[in-house]
Amino acid sequence: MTRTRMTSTDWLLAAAGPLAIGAIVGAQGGALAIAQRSLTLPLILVGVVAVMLPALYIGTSLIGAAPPARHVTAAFARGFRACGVSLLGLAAPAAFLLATSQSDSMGVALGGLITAVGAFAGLRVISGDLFTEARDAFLVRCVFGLWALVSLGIGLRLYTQFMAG
Amino acid sequence: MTTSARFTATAAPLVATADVAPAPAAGFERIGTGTGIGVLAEQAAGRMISRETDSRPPEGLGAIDQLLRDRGAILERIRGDVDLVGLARAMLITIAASAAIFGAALGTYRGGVQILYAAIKFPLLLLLTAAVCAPALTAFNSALDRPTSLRRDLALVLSALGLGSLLLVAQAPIILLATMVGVSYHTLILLTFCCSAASGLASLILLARGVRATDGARATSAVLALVMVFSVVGAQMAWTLRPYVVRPRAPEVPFVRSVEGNLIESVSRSFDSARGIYSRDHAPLPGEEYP
Repeated sequence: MTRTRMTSTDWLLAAAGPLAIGAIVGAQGGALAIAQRSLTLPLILVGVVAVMLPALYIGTSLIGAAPPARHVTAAFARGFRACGVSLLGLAAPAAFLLATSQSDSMGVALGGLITAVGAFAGLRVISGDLFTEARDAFLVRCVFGLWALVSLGIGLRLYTQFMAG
Repeated sequence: MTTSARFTATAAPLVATADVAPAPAAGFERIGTGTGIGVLAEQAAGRMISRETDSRPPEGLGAIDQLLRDRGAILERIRGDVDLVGLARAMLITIAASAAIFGAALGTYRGGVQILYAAIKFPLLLLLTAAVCAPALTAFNSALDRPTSLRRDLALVLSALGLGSLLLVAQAPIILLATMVGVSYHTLILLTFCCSAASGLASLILLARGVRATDGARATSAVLALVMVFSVVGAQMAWTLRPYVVRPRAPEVPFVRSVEGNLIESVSRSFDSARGIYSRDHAPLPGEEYP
């Protein structure tokens, strides 16, 4: 399990990915839509984490599998980086797919799918950082899996509400 | 007798190949070199196997032959970062030539300038897909704390597409035969789709093997994400660069058509049309509105 401090480059990468995907999704709507959606997507990701992080800490604490709080925050920071880097790597495919799709709804749906892939990468890193050495692996996976599903559901709901409008 | 094989140097002067010879793969031990020939002995559970190999990686046709016969060696070469420029060059040429031949075979259905157009577009399809998707692999590796190297990832992607394009050229005679016996347009479309799907599957399998062969955790996550990206981008790229066959009633042969719908809708419609089920009076010609 790798625990390294986040550098300024890491934070930049964490932010650049969602900014890029948000801008690409908004490209069909003009300059204002680009600016609006490029800021909305990172805020959605931060908002979901802000709402769900305490729930994960409480849930894993109850089953005796919660690492120290500072490790949890460090893991989430690395999760953000993983999500951002994944989204940056998907920016070129996203731009191509959205440029060659005709409907706005298809563009928004593709953006959502790509964001979900980035979120999955982040969740994978978080679970690896926090729970690889957990004693009761099955129970921890169940709790984390449920938490991840709820997080993705909230994120999807916020995405369709704020990015598809 | 020990399990180590003994190598007897030849009469030719020994050449210091240590600087240029690649490190032996895991499980192999280099015990001597001479005139560019290295003898590797495998020590495994008391079983002694020895074989002579040239320490230089194969190039050109040799690399293509190795891709067909021993894909494990190709993956080992990529993992060991051995002459990836030479490998990439060989794969680029393979993709360009093989895909062009398959495209030309498709173009014979319409004939004329379509043979040239399809021969140009099929290599473009594969190479543009590689250009769009290769950085995604590097990004996934970086995000998932796996070893990251754009050079190795690009070599892997090109090798996978090289294998796919070789399978395409192997299936080109099937397309030619179908054209010669006069199959219908929709049947040829479905046949093309099947040939391309088989080649694409082979490419994806090699890609997955390459990702898993790299040291590091979370290989399954990287593979799943990459397979999804490749499939979607490759399918949409194919749709964007169409037509490859051209409808018989089309008066002109465009290089590319305007974007209409997507690949999944088209395959479904061709499947129905091949069974005689039509949802509209006629397909739109270039310039006509979509009914």
